[in-house]
Amino acid sequence: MFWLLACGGAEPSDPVADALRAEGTVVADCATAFEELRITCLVDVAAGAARAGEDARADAACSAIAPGVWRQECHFRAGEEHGVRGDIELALDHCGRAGRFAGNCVTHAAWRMRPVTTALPSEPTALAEIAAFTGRVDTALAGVAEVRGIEEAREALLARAWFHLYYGSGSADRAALDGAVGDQQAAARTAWAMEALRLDGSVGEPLDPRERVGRYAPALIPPGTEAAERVPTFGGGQRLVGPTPLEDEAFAAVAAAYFLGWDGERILELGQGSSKLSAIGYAVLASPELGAAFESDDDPAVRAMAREARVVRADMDLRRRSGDR
Amino acid sequence: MIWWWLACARSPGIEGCAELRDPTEVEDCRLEEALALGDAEAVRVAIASIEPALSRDLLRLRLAVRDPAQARSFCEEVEGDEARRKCEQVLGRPHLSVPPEGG
Repeated sequence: MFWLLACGGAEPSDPVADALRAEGTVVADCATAFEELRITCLVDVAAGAARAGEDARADAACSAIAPGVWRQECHFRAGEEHGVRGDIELALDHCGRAGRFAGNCVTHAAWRMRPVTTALPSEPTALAEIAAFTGRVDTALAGVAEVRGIEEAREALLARAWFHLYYGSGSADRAALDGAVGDQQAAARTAWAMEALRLDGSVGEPLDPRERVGRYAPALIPPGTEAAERVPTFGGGQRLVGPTPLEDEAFAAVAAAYFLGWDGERILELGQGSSKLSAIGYAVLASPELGAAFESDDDPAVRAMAREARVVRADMDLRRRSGDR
Repeated sequence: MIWWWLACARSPGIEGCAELRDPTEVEDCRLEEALALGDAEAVRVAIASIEPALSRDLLRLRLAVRDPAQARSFCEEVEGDEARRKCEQVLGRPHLSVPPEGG
């Protein structure tokens, strides 16, 4: 600003320019004259510190922000970055302090988390690795058990661990799936189905880790189905769980087909028996033009599912257009 | 005496803030005036009258951080790359704009 520059002598500091430049990496203490920019700088510092595994610095940055939305956001950013590194203990500690963003924090931490297993699904150590991770999750969750919004953390984190074990590994061997314990079986089935459908068999080429992504599947919850059992799929999405393990493989398959980008007609071909309704939902989600026929179906459950899928798809399109992430 | 006091205490308006000597006070004054205006459209018009561009961006950013639900309208008008990048810290986090349950 020139009235300052005009004063001569040593180059003066410009509080406005300084504030706009303030970054945790450059101005370590985020000292700016303007509180709002100090806050965003501190959030950056916390995220960067967590990304580097320096939790004391992340913690100090968040604590330097007054209690409220931005301190919660700071813990959210720190939590998700710890999650990316697979440090689930620190991730959940921060997510537990993210207030009303705790649920979002866990979802982000889970779905940005790097693989926590190294074995292939066919190897005996795969289950041991999953079990070890489960133990870590349970221990970490005990510390944040009272936090509202974090209830689905365990399912989301374990679903991600199973996803990494199977998807893109080049192996859809059933060994790990068949060894999955109790409440992890549905998550294991989702992951196994994704890889089995991708490979169109049980063995094939692995995917580069950067390509192990797919189409986001939001939860489809038509009125009256709120209590139906669901399991996390990808990025906060959910799928319905079938009434028996065998039937659930078909439920997992239609969810996997949607994840893999199949069009509606192909998804419908997969949906047989009790998974048919679920397939209709994914089919309309993938190909909205299929919805009209189902919305005039005689079965009210079919009509409700098709309508729900159409509404959810329209909402997704709207968000995409408005640039929300 | 009372008349003089009232005249001095009167709000300077965003344009009048430039009369202050301390640069930080100038920017804080602009923020207070913008907040007092209330109406988002009036604020955007008033910001356009500020010089230089860095100060316009600073005010837009401060308002965006204070009220993330309004951030898009302010951030759409930022002019500099640094402000644009910082705006993304708000716009890229849509949950910040969601009002708390029951609030």
